[in-house]
Amino acid sequence: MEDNDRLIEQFMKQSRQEIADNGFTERVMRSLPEPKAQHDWLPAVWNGVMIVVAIVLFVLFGGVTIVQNALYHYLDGVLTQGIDIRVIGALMVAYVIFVCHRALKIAR
Amino acid sequence: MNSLSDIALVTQVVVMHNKGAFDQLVRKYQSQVRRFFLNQTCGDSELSDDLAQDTFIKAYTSLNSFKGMANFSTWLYRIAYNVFFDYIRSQKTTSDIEEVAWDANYSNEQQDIGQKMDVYAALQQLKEAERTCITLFYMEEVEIKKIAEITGMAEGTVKSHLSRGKEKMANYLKQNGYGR
Repeated sequence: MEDNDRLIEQFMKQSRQEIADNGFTERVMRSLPEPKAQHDWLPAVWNGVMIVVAIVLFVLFGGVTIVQNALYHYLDGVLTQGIDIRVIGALMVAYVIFVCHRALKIAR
Repeated sequence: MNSLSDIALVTQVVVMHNKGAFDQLVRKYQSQVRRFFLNQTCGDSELSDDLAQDTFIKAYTSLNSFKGMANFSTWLYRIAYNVFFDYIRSQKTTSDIEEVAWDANYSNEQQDIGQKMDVYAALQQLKEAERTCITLFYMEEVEIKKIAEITGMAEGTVKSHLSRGKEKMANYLKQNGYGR
């Protein structure tokens, strides 16, 4: 019985062959189905619903008033004290970084 | 062993629909899957490639059902086994025969000379289930537990198929001058 085991094991291992791809993968990749169209609209609908929910909650919890007040205080401060030079500097640095980032993205 | 790279590739396909990641999986496992079919069909390379292609397409469309609990290669073998037995069933219903007889002449496209020809001739002596168990166990070195997982058979049934297949195959090999 053990002899049979050894005989078959040896025979099968010797017969084991690695099969070269020879374009098989490409054929498989060409035959793959495209993702089903019905799944495409699901994330878009989900995003839309979540955006509407976020806007409703923002309005319900007084977000509009908070933003209005913040803007009012900021503009009031600018008008009474002038714009801080550091704010302009920070905005310029941010702008330069943004432009560089876009340029790199386009170059890629 | 389920390699992390397999799980990473599966994740890329499922989450990002990255076909390039699936291309890598096919390249990695094509030899294993095609060899499985070559052994099951006793060397019919054209049929083997068709069935292997079906296997990868099925794997692609049901990749989100791969949970990473099982080895990716075991999961793939399971699909291959189902594809093969669906094919066998369809042949049986159309030709109404008990065993699908593989045309030995059809298999000559592979370089099946010498030992390669012998292995297919030896495998032809076995029933389909015995052939599956013998090739997975001896050629692919898959454990009995995993073979049971792939085929959906009980471990005891796998052992019986192995035992019967081993006896038939050993007799055939001895009759043909092996093991002297």
